Amino acid sequence: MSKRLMIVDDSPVMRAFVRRTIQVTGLPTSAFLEASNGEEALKKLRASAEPVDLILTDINMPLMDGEGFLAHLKSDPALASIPVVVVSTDSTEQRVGSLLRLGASDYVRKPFPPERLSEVLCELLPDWAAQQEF
Amino acid sequence: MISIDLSDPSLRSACHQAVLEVLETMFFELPLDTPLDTSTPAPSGCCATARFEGSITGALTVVLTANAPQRLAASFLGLDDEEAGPAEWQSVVIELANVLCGATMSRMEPAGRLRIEQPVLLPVPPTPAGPWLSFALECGRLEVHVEYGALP
Repeated sequence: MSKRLMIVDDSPVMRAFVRRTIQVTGLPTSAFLEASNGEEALKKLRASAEPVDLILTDINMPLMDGEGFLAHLKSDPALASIPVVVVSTDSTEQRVGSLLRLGASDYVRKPFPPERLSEVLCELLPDWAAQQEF
Repeated sequence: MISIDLSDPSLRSACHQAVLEVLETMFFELPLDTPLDTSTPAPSGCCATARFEGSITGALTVVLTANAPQRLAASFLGLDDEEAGPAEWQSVVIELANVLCGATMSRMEPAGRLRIEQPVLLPVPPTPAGPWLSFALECGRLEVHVEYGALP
């Protein structure tokens, strides 16, 4: 089954890069929702008629950063079960530990090869991995 | 507080490794040769600087010359070269500065706490003290300068 993903990053070119990287991995995707910060992401998630299967988020963003977004998401019963993968340049041990404690499912450090993102997505959504097309 | 720049062998090595990793994984490019040391960057080019603060404070600056902005933007976005215009070049050089800064400084301070500010474009390459690393690409040059302050 195709998945609905959300990409949260204040950089439009980085959102395009992540979207293209996922398309290159061959994982079938029915929709990409995009947001430029945590606040916009929460609004779109709450307004979405269909559920989102997985969220990829940056950390450093204006208005509401990745940590704030995770905290709000995980405290909302309707959204808390959506797996969140943090994709960021900030890979210090302290920051990664803090994000995992907040409820992030995994962490992908930029720069990343397509295989690294594919590996993480397939682990979090195993039924999706079975449909990977090359 | 002492100032550390690319004359420091560990920072030079971290920056060199970060450039190779970033170019290969996100831009599908590799330098043609080992990098050169230069005291000043190219006088013109697409330039962005990323400041960082936390356990150490400093900045990383990148300059892309000749056709490198267009080529790297096209590679990054999966476009043909002619489809990538100045807006894409500028956005991509900002991302390059951001990712290169993170990749370099996480090698230098893996247990530190750093916050990278949103990189900004510069109209002309700056001429801070300290050496630059200059990488030859097929389409131009990538030049990098890093400097930060640390407690002795």
